[in-house]
Amino acid sequence: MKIWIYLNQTQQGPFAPEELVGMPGLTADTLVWFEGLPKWYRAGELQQMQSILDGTYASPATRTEPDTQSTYTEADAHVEDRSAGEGLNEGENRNHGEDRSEDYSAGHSEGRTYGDNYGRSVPDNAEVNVTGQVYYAPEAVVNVGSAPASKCPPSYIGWSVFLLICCCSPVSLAALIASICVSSYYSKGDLASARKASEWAAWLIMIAFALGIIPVMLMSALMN
Amino acid sequence: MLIAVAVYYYRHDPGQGGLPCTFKLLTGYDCPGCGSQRALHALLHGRVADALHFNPLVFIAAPAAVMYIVVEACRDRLPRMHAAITHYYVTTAILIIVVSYWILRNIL
Repeated sequence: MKIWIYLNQTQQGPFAPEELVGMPGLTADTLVWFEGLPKWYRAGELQQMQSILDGTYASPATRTEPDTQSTYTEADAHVEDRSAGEGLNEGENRNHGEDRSEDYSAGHSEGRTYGDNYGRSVPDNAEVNVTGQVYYAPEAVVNVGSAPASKCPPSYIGWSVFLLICCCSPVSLAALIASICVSSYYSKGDLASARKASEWAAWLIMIAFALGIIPVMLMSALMN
Repeated sequence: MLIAVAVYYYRHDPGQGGLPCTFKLLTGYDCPGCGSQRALHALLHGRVADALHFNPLVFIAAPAAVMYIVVEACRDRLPRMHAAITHYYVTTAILIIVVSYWILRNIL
């Protein structure tokens, strides 16, 4: 299990659980995220963090309780309500992404989700591991939002625009469209399609670059 | 590299045979980037009006492209900036501007 923490105004991690035992500054109020969590929680709210906080943590090999079990929270339930009618897996993905993009534009803190599912769904038998109420992180944490896993794939839009004005061809137009699709899919929460569009954009940019540059080089070689 | 490009376009007038545009060679139509070399040459010689005449799009698109490449490169340091400018409303607006300029310049 890899754990990210928000300490001294910066996002730190990933840490193995045993690294966090006795870490200076880590308290029950420290914000914590690991895979499977929809958003950042205070360490004190997470059962998985209890043994780390009180120093009794034992490595998974010696534990009977599976600690990779996804945490299932009220926030997740709320997210899923909105995806009624879609496949569970797909719905999860979409809503995680959607909530994140809303964060960026609106900056509101409710229902902020950083979980990355990429095709993994929360198991049906997942326990509610979070004690007490869902904690809404303070606004200051918005910038922590780049939980490593569910980042928007690169759209290469700069290169697309550059190619469109430099060595333009219909291919660079297609590259620009692919770049736009990346952010568009991402804002809809469709990470899989966004990644595919990102790959397409990269390829189209390379093709457009080759198409733009090679004839130019040939021409200038012939002219001189 | 930027300086090398600037020096090249300062000394060399693309109006008298610069690097050709593949799209224009093949189709005979102007692409959205046609004229940008001449515009750059004019701009480096302080002829802003001429530069605008050759390719006004360069003034919008070139800074935009540079900004995108820079922000893409340091997205970890500027996550909100990155999210804002790669939002698909912004990028679609750029696409529409470029394509409408492409069509209009060939019609008019």
